[in-house]
Amino acid sequence: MTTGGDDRLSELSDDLLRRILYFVSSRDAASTSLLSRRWGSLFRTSGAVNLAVQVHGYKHLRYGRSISSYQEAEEAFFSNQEIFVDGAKAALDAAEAPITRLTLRVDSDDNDAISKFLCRSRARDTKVDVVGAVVSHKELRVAAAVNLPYRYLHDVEAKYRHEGYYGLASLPSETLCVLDLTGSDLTRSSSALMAALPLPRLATLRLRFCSVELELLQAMSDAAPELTTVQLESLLLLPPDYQQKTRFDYPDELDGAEPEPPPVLRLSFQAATTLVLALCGMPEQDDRRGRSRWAIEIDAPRLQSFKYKGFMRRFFLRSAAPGLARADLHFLRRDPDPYNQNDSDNDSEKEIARMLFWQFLHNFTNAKTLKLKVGNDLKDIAAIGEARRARLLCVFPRVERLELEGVHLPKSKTAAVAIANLLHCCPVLGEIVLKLTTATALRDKDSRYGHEFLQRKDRSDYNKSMDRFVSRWKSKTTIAMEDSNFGDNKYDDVPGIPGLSGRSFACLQRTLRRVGLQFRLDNNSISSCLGLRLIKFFAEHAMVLEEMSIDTGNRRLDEHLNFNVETRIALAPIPISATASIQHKNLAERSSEFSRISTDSTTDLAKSTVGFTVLPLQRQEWKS
Amino acid sequence: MASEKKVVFLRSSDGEAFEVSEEVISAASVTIKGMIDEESPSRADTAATTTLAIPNVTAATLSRVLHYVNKHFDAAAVVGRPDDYIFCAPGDEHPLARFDDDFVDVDNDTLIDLVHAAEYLHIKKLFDLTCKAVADKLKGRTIDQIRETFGIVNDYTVEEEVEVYRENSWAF
Repeated sequence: MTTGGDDRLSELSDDLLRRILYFVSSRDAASTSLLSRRWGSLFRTSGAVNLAVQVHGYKHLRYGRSISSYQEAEEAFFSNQEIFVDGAKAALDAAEAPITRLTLRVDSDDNDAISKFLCRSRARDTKVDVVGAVVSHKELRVAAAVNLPYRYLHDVEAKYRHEGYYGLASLPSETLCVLDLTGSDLTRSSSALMAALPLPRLATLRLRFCSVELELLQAMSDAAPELTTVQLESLLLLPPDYQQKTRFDYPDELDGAEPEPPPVLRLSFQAATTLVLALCGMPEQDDRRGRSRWAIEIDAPRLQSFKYKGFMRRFFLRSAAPGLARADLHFLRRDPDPYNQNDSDNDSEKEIARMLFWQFLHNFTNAKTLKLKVGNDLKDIAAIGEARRARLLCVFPRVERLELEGVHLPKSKTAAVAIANLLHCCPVLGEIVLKLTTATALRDKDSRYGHEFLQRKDRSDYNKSMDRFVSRWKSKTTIAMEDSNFGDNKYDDVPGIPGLSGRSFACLQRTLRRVGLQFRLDNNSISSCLGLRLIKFFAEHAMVLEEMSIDTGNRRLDEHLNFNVETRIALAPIPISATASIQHKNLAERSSEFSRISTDSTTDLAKSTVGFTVLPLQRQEWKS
Repeated sequence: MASEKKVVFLRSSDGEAFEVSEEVISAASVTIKGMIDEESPSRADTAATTTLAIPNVTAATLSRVLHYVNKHFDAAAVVGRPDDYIFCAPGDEHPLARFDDDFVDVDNDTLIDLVHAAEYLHIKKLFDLTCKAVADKLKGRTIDQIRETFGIVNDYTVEEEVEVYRENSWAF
């Protein structure tokens, strides 16, 4: 693919080319010197040294490449290491401008190979410090990535000590702006990191898949007055006394002794404006009793955005963060205790979850944007009854955008209560996005059960849809529609929603302009589908509604419905212009919009005949 | 609540005008935010919408840029801190990652136009994205392949070439 001899790349300014070379690995960057005079020594001033290496363990070396003996594999391994170290030195030497970015990325399919590569030398006893080759720079990113074991790919809080791949010998503390470390046991580097303090310019700290002592993390934060962005992801946080306690050292619960108060994770980030706390854990506790109920206490008065991903737990912001405008909370599903099937305990467990959820939210009353993802059933967060509402709910006087994602049982009525609770709490809400699913994750269930369940479900789905298919033909004669091929569900057949209908919400009266709904349109129970009922509810009750977008990402719908043609949702005379855009996930490009502008803006809502038609079951041709 | 959204028009070098929300484009582009701030005293209380001339960017490129801007800066503009990348937790694929991949999956000329536009408009995220995309085209290719891809003419003499090769021999 030539560009007609017109070399537009080389015509870019030096600065632009440097910026491009900034992202290229050192080896590739240096080889561009051979392209033409224009490129000659540009790479030397890009300001970045990006070192990357693929490390193979002995096993791979022996079986992958016809190397038979252990000695040969060892030889190949260490010569790879030497080539890399020499190359790294050469790359650092070649740099003529101050290095602002140093990255080191080690990829391997073998856990041991990385630490060996980074720490050992050919002679058994001597240690090398591959990472230690650090010069003055602003940005340090080190990632030692093995192909992560499967457990990291699920949503699990960190429980186990991460294998240590490397230690840091020294840090350029004066100039360091970004520190980004992945896959490290920082307890090995704590003395080096402590020695590097203070970090006057450090603005971004990102730690992923690391083990780190709480004290060290706190010391780093305290010594970095400009630290505005803190991202802690999949960290194992080690409390000060973690070494004294063994895993099995807990009081015998049979004694009836008072359980110890749960540990509190206290961290303070005085300068942070953005904080991400995702899947961070403490060393494994007794799973039967402790249920890892530790609490979090964060002191970050300048916080603007906060993201949390993990279990529901006690959470406090110690000092109010008046600028905290955005909170993104993702609560993982906590499965019922398999050893404790006692119903009363289960109930109190649920009551606790409900309390934790709302207490967590109490910290974000200044937020403008609130994004909530609840792994548990939505009914678990619903506050039912006056007393509970008074005790749990709080007002979010500024929330303009709310997103709620969660699971509900198809028959459950309490999911709607949770939505009502939140509507009630957000008096100036302008936009709401609801993502509802009825299927609960089955991954923790017995796999055989899951399989059988799905088989059964498939069969019954099939039967039901066949039934409907057949009855469609039967009903053909009795229901005379505009096109007699369709059955129908009249708008009036869609019932109201307990918990929502018949209540008044300030935001619906004045501010709610945009509604987004994502749900699965369940063929079996169209009339009871919560999503449809919500469409009706918002269409009727949101007085200033401008836009409603609906996404029924339902594959099964395809089998029966040609969604664009046969399904019509007409949101007719709402007093203002209303647009309902219907988008089908799998047919995105064929999405269609329906809009209807009422000419008479004074139409009485009660009198207006709002048509709502779902015409099901236009069966498509099967292609076997 | 501000329901009526202010819009501005951007006129490309070849004279086509594009409508964009003022809030969104200000969050995205430092350059345009500057232009709007400069304009604002003169258009206070006037209902007229502003048209800004973008002399260095063609309509084809500008429409691409605005597509990107609307994707990346619209939803987050509510708080004015479009830091969605930071909010990408491990295991989550960023919802816009695929959009980004597709966005820069274009021919070299278009990509370089985008680099220029992102630099001129000062859209940091787009600038980094497009520079990285060019960088990716340099990765894992031989010198000859890179020359062919971008139409780079080798103007070294044989002696010079040997010298450069010797100097940077560690990289080959």
